[in-house]
Amino acid sequence: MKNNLEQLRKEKGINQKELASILKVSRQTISSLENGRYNPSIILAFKIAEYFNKPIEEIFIYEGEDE
Amino acid sequence: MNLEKVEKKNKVKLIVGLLIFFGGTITLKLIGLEDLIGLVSGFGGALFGVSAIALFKIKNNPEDYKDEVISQSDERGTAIRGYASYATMIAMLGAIFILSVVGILWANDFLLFLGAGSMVFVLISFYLFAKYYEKKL
Repeated sequence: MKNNLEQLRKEKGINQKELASILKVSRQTISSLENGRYNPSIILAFKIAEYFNKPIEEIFIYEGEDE
Repeated sequence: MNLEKVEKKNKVKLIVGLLIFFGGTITLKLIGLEDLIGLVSGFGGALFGVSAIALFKIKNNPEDYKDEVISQSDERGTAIRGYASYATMIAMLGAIFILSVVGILWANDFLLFLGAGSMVFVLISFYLFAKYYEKKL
């Protein structure tokens, strides 16, 4: 699954640590999400979407099964 | 979990630790179970020590401690621990299997019993936990 998290975060002008603190996750989780190594839970995906004020599918792009 | 809640929880643990340390020692001495004093006072002391360190960190560097609390409940961290636990269980089963094989090769009844018994215990635990989480999830 691809995502636009890094781009959206940079547009907001915040760093990974700040985003992590807002979403109450670790900075490493943000880094893994941005690199596409980790897919978030539905709750975290909603939190991210709510924070960036965008629908989930605009942030996370499902490209079919890759595992 | 917010920091105030964590602080309150640690204050309770600190008091409980002290009570176990002193109360447990005195009670065990009075009822004549002096052999258990080391165990009980060690547990109380450890509880006291862990909560004292946590309270010290909260007082001195609340931001760092907040990060520590977040990292404990972080969903990626939880997933990592889940995968690690599963891999550890497989490794443990492998070790128990080797123990059983060594028991067979050396014709050592104790090793064989220990290996087979542990394997049955692990498999039954796995089955029961799977049933438990089947109901929870």
